[in-house]
Amino acid sequence: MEEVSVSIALTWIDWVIIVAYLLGMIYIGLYFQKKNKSFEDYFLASKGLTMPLLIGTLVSTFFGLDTLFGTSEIGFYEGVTGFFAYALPYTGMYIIVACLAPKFRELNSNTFVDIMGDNYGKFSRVVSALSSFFYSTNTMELMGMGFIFALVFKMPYWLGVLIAAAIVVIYTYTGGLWAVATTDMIQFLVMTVTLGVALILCWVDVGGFHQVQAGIAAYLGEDPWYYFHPSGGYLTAGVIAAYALTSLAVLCEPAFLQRIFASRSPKEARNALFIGTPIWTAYEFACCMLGLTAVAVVGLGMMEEPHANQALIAVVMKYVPAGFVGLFLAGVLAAAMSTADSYFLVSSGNLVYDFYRPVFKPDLSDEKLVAYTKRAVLISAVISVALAFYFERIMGVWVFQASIIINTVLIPLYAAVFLKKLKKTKLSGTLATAVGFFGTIAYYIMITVAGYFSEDWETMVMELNLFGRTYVLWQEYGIFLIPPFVLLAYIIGLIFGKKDDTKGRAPAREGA
Amino acid sequence: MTGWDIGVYVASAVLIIGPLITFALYLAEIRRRIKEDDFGASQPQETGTAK
Repeated sequence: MEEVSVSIALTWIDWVIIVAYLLGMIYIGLYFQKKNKSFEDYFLASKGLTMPLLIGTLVSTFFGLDTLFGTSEIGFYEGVTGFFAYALPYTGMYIIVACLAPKFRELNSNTFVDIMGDNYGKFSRVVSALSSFFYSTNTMELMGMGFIFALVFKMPYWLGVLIAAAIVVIYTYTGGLWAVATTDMIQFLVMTVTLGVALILCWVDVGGFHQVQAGIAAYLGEDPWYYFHPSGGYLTAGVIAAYALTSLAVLCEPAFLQRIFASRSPKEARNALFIGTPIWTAYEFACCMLGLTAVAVVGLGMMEEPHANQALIAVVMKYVPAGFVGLFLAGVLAAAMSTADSYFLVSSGNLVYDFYRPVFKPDLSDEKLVAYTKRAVLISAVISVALAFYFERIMGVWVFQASIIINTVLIPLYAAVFLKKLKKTKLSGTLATAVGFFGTIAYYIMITVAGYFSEDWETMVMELNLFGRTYVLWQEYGIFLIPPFVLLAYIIGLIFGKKDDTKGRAPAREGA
Repeated sequence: MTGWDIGVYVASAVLIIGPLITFALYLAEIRRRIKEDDFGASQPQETGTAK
C-alpha cells in the first residue's frame, strides 16, 4: 500500500485555539520577567516549586515528540511491544528516582554538577557540565516542531523550526524556570487530556478490541497475535535489556534533577514523581495503542496508509471533532515545547553556572550570572537549531545523549550522594568522568566510522572479529560496556588519590 | 469487553482525570501566589529526612 502524508484541514475554532495557545505561552514568559531577582529565582524558581507544579513540569518535560510519534510508530509496526519492551522499563526508573529524590533535595545544591564539583573538584565539574550540555541539546524537539508548524501552517520546514524556537526562547529567556514550569503546567494539561480523549474516541469509534484485531489481521493478511504479545513475537530478553539500558538516563536526568533541586521540600519532589509515574505510563500506553489503532483503521479500509511516524496524527484527525483538532495539535506542540524550554534552560545553566563561572569568573556577581544565563539560552537555541538543520536523520542521537550522561555521571554522582562514609578523592572523580566521557565519544566514533546501519535492528552496529569469533556491537552497548571501566577507574582513584583533596566547590554558590 | 479494552479505558481515565485534579490544585496555588505576589522570594525550605 502506498504511504501518504497527513493533510490537516482546520476550522476557525481550531485556528483560534492554536494561536491563543502560542500567544499565551509568550504572555506567561513576559509576566514572569520582573519576578526574577536572583539566579536562584531565575534558574530554580526560588526553590519554591510545589507538588502540582512539579508533576506538571516533570511529566511534560520528559515526554516530547519522540514519545508521541516514536512510541506510536513502534505500535504501528510492532504492536504492544512498543509499550512493554520500550516504555515499561522507564516506569521502573521513575519509581526508583521517586524513592531517591529526597536524598538529592536534602543536599540543597543548585545543580547536580555542584555535587560533582563539591566531591571531586573542577575537572569532574567541567566534564559533567559538558555531558549534561550534550544531553540537553534540543535537536529532536525542534525538528518535530518544525514538522508540525509546516503541517499546520503550510509553511516551509525551516521557517517552522525558526518560529517554534523563537516562541520557546522568548518565554524561557524572559521568565526562567517560573515561566517554564508555568507553561509546562498548561502544556501538561493540554497534552495529556487531549491524548486521553483522543484515545478513547478512536478506540470506541473503531469498535474496540475485536474490530482493531480484525483490522490488523486484514492489514497483515495473517493472524496478528504478535501485535498483542509483549515481546512482539521476536524480541529476546537480551534485546529488550539492550533497549532498556537507555532508561538508566532517568537516574541522572538533568531536567529531573533541576526540578528536584527547585522543589520546595524533599517530600514534594518525591510525591510529585510518584504521582507522575502512572501518568507517564498511561501516556506511553496511549501512544502505542493509537499507533496500533491506526493499522487497524488502514486494514479496515477506512483510511489511507500514513507514514508510520504520522500514524497517531492521522488516526486522531480522522476521529476527533472540529475544535478538538486544534486542541489536539496544541497538545502536540505542547509536548514539544515543554521539553524544548526545559532543556534550553538546563543547558544554559551548564554553560554559565556550571562551566563558565567556576573556570573563568569565580567572582561573577549574581546579577551578571542571571544576565549571562539568559544569553546562554540564546546560544543553546542557536546550536539546537543548527543541528536541526544539519541532521536529516537523527536516529541514534538519543542513544548517544543517554550514553554520555549515564557513563560520565551515574557512578560518581550516586557514590557522592549515597555513599557518605566513602572517602572520596579528586582522582576518583577525575578518572571516572574522563573514562566515561571520552570513552563514550570514542565508542561512538568507532561505531560510526567502522559500523553500519542495520535495517533489521534499526540501529548502528559494528562487527568485531576476536579469536576467530564475530561479535556484533550495537551502539546501545556503550551503556553497559563502558560503566565497568568507569567503576574500575573510580576504584583506582579511591586507592591512589589523596583523601584530603581540596574540593572544587563553586566559590560564589553560598550567595546564590 | 477484553483486557485490552479495559486497559485503554483505564489509560484514558488516568490521562484525563489525573491532570485535571493536578491542574485544579495548581490553580488554587497560583491564585494565592498572584494575590500575594509570591514568586521572587525563596520559600522556607524543609531540610532533613523526608517523611
